[in-house]
Amino acid sequence: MEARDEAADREAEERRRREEEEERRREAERRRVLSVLAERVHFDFDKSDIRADAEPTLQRKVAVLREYPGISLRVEGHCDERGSVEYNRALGQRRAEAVRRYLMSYGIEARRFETISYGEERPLVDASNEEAWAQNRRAEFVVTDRGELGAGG
Amino acid sequence: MSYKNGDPAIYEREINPGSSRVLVDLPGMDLTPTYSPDGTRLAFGATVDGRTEIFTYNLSQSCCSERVTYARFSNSLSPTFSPDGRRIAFNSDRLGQLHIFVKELQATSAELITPYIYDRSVHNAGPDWSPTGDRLAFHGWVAGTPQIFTVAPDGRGLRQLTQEGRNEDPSWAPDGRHIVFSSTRDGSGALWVLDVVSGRIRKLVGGADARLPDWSGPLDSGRYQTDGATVDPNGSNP
Repeated sequence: MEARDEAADREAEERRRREEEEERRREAERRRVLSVLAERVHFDFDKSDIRADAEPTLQRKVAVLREYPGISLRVEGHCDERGSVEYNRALGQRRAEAVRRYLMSYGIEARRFETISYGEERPLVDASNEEAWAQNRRAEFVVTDRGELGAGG
Repeated sequence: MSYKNGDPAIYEREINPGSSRVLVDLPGMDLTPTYSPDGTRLAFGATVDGRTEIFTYNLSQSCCSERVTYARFSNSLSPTFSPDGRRIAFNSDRLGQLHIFVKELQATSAELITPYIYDRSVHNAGPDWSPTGDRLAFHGWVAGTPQIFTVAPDGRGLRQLTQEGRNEDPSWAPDGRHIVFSSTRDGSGALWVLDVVSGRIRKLVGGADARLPDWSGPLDSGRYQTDGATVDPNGSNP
């Protein structure tokens, strides 16, 4: 009787440990996926072309988006402060669209993206120098549907 | 233009009591709206193939978005109507630099009215056609800093009106003599009014990073009637 209880306890303990392990693994995977998706890409002044240094970042996103077909993204285009307020809204839109087109060219479906531009309204770095401008010319990524990744994390 | 439903659209807001409604919402981003002088039409920028082109929308019929610019691989935005409503001036990067163009709404071609200089930093933007029709105000970069200019609609008589700080997004008063614009001339973002004739400049609103001003039409002038009433250039002196 006592031996059987001990065995059951051990089994329950083992199952709990495995579940915790599994949850830790899922949590680590969630974090990995979300951090890949959150990586920003940057642009040259007054340009919306995808830079060579942005490609590895976008390729990591392609891999994740293929692996998790339920995930949807909002791509946000941003600009530095130098152009006119109105022109920058349009430029930010082109940057967001350029990113969307790049990801679509690797087979990710159009319906998984929305794009928006905030122009120069939401700088990452609030300063007026080359370094700040380079940081501010960017696309950001917001997960709008986590799909099979689920809540948590 | 508002982001309030996610996809940016053009809204009309009653100033009193402050309610607003969607006027136009095309796919993508709708931006830089402007009323025609008689109030019957709207011109604005909207996304086409990931770029921006200019459209008009008939407000009196509440329908019919009509595309008015066609520039492959480039962008057109920030339209402003001539006082007779037959032409628009707008901003485009079709020559590889940002310039101001004028176009008959019904014509296919557009005329460049800001000087083309072989310099990558040319950036002319934010045009506003004066209610008297004879000048356009805009801002253009001088050594990378925006300054207010005026020019005739045929590109003649370019004049630089500001020198100090960043000066952007001019908008004419109904008298065609005063211009409101945003400026950092005293350190923070504020709205300033310039008398084009005397050159005097005074601060209007400050302290709140104010920008993108647009002067209202003359009050009680019948400007928004659709019976052909025209704007009296001597109507209201601000």
